[in-house]
Amino acid sequence: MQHIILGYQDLLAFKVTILLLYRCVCRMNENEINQILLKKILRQLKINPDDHEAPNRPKNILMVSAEYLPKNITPQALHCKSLADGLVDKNMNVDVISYDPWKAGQTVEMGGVKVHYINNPIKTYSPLTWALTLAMEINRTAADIYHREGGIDLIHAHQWEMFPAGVSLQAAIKKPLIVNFYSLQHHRAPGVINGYTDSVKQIEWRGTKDSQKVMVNEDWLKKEIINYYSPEPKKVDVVNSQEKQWTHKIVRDYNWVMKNWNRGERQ
Amino acid sequence: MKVLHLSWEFPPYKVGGIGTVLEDLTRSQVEQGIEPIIVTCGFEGNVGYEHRNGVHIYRFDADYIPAEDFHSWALQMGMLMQNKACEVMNEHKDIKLIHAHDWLVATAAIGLKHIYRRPMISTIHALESGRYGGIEGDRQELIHSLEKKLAYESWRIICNSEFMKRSISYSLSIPWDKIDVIPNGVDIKKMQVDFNYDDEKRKYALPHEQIVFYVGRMVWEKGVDIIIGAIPKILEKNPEAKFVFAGTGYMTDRLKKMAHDAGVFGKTTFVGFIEDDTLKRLFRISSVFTIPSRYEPFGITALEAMACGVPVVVADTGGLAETVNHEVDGIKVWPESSESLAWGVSKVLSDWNLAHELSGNAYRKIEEHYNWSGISIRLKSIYNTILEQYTSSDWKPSAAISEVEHAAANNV
Repeated sequence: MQHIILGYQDLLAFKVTILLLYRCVCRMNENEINQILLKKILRQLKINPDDHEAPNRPKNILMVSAEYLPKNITPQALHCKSLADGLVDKNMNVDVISYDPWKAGQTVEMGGVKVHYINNPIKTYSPLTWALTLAMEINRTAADIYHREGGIDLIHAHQWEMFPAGVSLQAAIKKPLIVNFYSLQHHRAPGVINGYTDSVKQIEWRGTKDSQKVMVNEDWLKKEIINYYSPEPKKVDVVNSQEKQWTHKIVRDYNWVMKNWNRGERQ
Repeated sequence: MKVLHLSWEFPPYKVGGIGTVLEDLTRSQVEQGIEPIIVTCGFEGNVGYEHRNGVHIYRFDADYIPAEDFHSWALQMGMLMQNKACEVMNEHKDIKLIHAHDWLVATAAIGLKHIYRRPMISTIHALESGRYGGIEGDRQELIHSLEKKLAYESWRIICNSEFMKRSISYSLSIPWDKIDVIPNGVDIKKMQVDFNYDDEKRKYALPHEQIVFYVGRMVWEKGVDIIIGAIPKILEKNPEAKFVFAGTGYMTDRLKKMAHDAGVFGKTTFVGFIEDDTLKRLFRISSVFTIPSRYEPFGITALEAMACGVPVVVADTGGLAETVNHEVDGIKVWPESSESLAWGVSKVLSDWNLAHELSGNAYRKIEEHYNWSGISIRLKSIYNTILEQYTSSDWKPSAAISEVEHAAANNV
């Protein structure tokens, strides 16, 4: 307690100093200065500034993405890596399951993120058969995390190839699922109608239906998803990784999903 | 003890023999104190839950699965099956063991095994390498590698003949001692049917004709073309023979053309798919039942014919070679030989005493060795051994989860 009071007194002195300084130099108003001070106080008290919704906050996040840095240098891989790093910065435990035949079976810790690499032991002949059989290995690795390493609070599946595994994991362990779209089959194969594209569309639709939140990078993609698969508009969120504090927005979404999940109000 | 069976087919939906075998097996498991739970495909709106003779059956909607081919259909079906099975496993927390039937359910069974950390056992009813005489092309590679993965992940593997044990061991590189042989069985009571012999026979043949019957898929591996090749030779010795073929498959039209080209089409009748009761009646009006398969893991129809008192003539191949004792309870002929098949069929058709002796011995054999209660006792003993090994192993759900499940099970 004494430590806190002393810290608070220090901060008051600090506030007066920077109030004068910032007013003169940066022309910040008192509210903005108060924000900076509040963060400093919380940091001194070892309270995470994003912990204001702590009761609903997921602690253990499982991300599944076929693409991840450094093996893949794609927008999806970059997005997943930045998101995982951002979540670790916010004191979350992040496990990523990703595909890399050369590292299969290894778990590599990168900046606090545990990346579990898998391979597909089945000889497949299309992305669809690849995705549907890879789900077995994702299930196996996720089960190891679930049973050994303290559980999973929330599953975040990136792009349709990961949705079958995400949906089945959700059905088994009864934890909320978030799906992330980077593109749609309607755009990858425009105008094509055959068994293959219909199957992928069915999986994309199932992802939007069985998940608790759908995330996309851009507004137009949100409109397209609503147009093709008809989820409730409020279920789809645009989170652009180019924006400032985008991971903060994702955490807010996580909290919201957990809050509804815990209340039993599945969307 | 609750056991979860995963099978893509179950009556009323039947394609091969798995559905029939599973129906009889689960019924006899109930008598042995096992509580079988089946998750299977539902078609034409036949979805949801059914409780029949102590067996829980959960069907999921498999009608509208878009797919480019059967293989990707099967994998998507596996995904839906796993989701349904998750619901079932969450409802029946005390399921002790998962029992998978063939490659179509491999992805679901393996996923469930790991997520719920329950021992998984598989019955391999047939192998892709046997169905087409080898593995060629992408699609066969997919099935072959799924079979391999299923066998690898299984605690133990069940197959129905020594022939299949050898095939699984060599084709999938599985250790010999991981495989148990338990034959399929026949429910003799189920094979009984009331009917008018003359009326029934008139549907397929003239009163004086002797029916030579075949039932099965019209595909290459079943060797139906070998019967067509044997017809002229059989007719030379037995002009009153009539050949009835039941079943469907991609070779049906080709077989009809073969019969036409051989000038024996008038002596054949292709009846297509038939219901169970029709099958039982057809067995009983037949003089000979023949299976000339090139590949036959077991040959359940031979047992069904034997249970109906019909003499059988089978190719000396696969599981048939083990089921039939030559000239004791059936006749074995050279595989892929129309001449040999013609010899075997003619021998039975021309010698009533021999036919009577063979069918009598066969019936006794079915009663003694192929009854379902004996089979399910053997399977239960394998289940118990697996559960003992599982209990003493470290591979289990995490303690916290077990406690929750235990509490839930007790509440139920």
